[in-house]
Amino acid sequence: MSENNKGGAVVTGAARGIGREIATALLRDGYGVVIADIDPAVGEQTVKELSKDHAGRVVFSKVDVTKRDEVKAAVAACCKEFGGINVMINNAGFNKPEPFLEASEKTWHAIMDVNALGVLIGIQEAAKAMIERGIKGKIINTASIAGRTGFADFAPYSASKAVVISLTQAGARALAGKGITVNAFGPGVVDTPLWEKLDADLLAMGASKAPGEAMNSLASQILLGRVAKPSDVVGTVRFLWSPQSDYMTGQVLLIDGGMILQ
Amino acid sequence: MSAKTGVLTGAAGGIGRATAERLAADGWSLVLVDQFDNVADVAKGIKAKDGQKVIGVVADITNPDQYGAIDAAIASIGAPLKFLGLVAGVLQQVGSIETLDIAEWDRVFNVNLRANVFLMKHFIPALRAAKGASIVTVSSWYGKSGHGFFGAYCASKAGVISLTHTAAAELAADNIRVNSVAPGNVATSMHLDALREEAEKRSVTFEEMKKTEWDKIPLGRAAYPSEIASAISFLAGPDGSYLTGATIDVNGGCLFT
Ligand SMILES: NC(=O)c1ccc[n+]([C@@H]2O[C@H](COP(=O)([O-])OP(=O)(O)OC[C@H]3O[C@@H](n4cnc5c(N)ncnc54)[C@H](O)[C@@H]3O)[C@@H](O)[C@H]2O)c1
Ligand SMILES: NC(=O)c1ccc[n+]([C@@H]2O[C@H](COP(=O)([O-])OP(=O)(O)OC[C@H]3O[C@@H](n4cnc5c(N)ncnc54)[C@H](O)[C@@H]3O)[C@@H](O)[C@H]2O)c1
Repeated sequence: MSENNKGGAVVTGAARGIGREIATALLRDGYGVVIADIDPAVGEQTVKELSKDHAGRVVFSKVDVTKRDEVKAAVAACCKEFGGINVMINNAGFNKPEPFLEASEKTWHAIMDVNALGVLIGIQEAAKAMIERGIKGKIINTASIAGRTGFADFAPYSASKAVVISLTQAGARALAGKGITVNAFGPGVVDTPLWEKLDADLLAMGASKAPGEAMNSLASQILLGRVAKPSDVVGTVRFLWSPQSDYMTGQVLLIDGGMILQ
Repeated sequence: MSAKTGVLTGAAGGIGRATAERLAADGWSLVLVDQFDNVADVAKGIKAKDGQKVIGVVADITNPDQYGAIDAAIASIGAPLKFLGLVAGVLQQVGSIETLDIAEWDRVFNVNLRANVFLMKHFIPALRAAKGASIVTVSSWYGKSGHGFFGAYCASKAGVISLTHTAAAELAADNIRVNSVAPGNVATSMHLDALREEAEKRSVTFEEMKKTEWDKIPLGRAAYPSEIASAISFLAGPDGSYLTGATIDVNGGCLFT
């Protein structure tokens, strides 16, 4: 264990993309980290790579965030390995674009289960463990600009991210008395595998005409003139887990390079 | 760390002083501006490391004729101007729209909104020349929703948030990020005086008024000024590099937007 041991953190959806970058920053800040992800192959590989600089302080836990037992097990693993859970990042999520009039029940349920119910379960299981140990922990959820403004081809996704914002507020009110804060961050357009898939899906749907076009057209609406890298998002998430934000709860920070100005 | 200068208004006040301490600890050289004479003493009281300078300048920010002294202080520090912190603000005399003296409305707007436009106009060229700078305004949760008896204050702070958006849109190409911090209740004299005055207006005791207000806050207390300073520090620093046009609500959960 490192000398500046800050305790334990669980990050869901941390095998790759934004979650992986968050996990890396938590390790650098002295936390032990559980990479909780549904994809064991990529997840184990990520643990292997991060272990090079942080041996013994990062472990994998195979978790489908829609399964309470699996989330509970990841939280338990964190407490066992790192002596408690100080930070919970409910980050797992996905999108599947469909034209609004064709958005299906199947897609709705699949997205709502992971992006919305998964966050509820994550908040609950982390909070129970924090309360049990008297830890004034920080729970941080991944929302999106889509939770603030609906996108035509992302109806279920936009709705699921509005749920994340609601759960953040409800959780903040429910847990403030225990000294636990609940906040969210909402990325704009981030260049991750999620967008590679989205770009391909949008092309197949006919919503764009060439690879990369969908993302580029969004980039032109961003004041800072470019889409984000996962590392652009991390600074704000770090602010939310640091004592710098101790007086914040129930809030949503958008990190969109100046896109929707809300 | 390369030398960098910041200008901070309202630096003799509760939040301003805490912000000066925090930014100095972050490595900034600072020009502290306030209309209170004691701003020079505030500057002397700030711990600065070798090579850092903190200078106090007495100026009324509503009067651009007095900005020359700020420019002179920046020049004497000699490091590029990379931060403008617009903290100064005033509360209004508590009163309904119907009874509010329009001179009071003008006074509040002059300080909280108009002066910040003057300051932006004046300092944008220097911030642009620094090639990578930021502006942080201090708005308020009262700017995100209206409150009875605070019409001028609320509207002026809503204006600050809007001005933040417009400046963000105009200045992104110049590599100047513009963001706002919207505090909730902060335990400075501004908040305590407001409680006192509102208690009188509503014919209740100060303690009752304080309890009524603090019970609305999920975290159960007003903020320490340092907790507002830490959000300003974040927005001015490298961790905030992809944020522009954003408002950070540091309010203990008293308002969710
Ligand atoms: N990339 C963007 O532009 C963007 C914008 C706004 C919000 N977000 C949000 O950020 C979060 C991370 O996105 P990303 O871009 O890094 O995506 P990504 O696809 O690169 O990574 C998502 C990770 O979540 C995992 N995952 C998916 N379903 C899961 C489940 N049921 N249980 C556990 N793990 C699961 C995946 O295996 C993957 O490792 C998501 O919530 C996403 O909605 C992304
Ligand atoms: N205290 C709160 O509860 C609270 C809540 C939300 C927002 N705010 C905002 O935070 C900012 C700082 O407030 P504070 O609580 O530190 O108040 P404060 O009264 O302690 O400090 C304000 C400072 O601004 C200075 N100032 C006012 N008019 C000026 C002028 N024309 N020129 C130069 N300086 C001038 C004052 O001299 C004072 O030192 C204000 O903008 C306020 O509206 C405060």
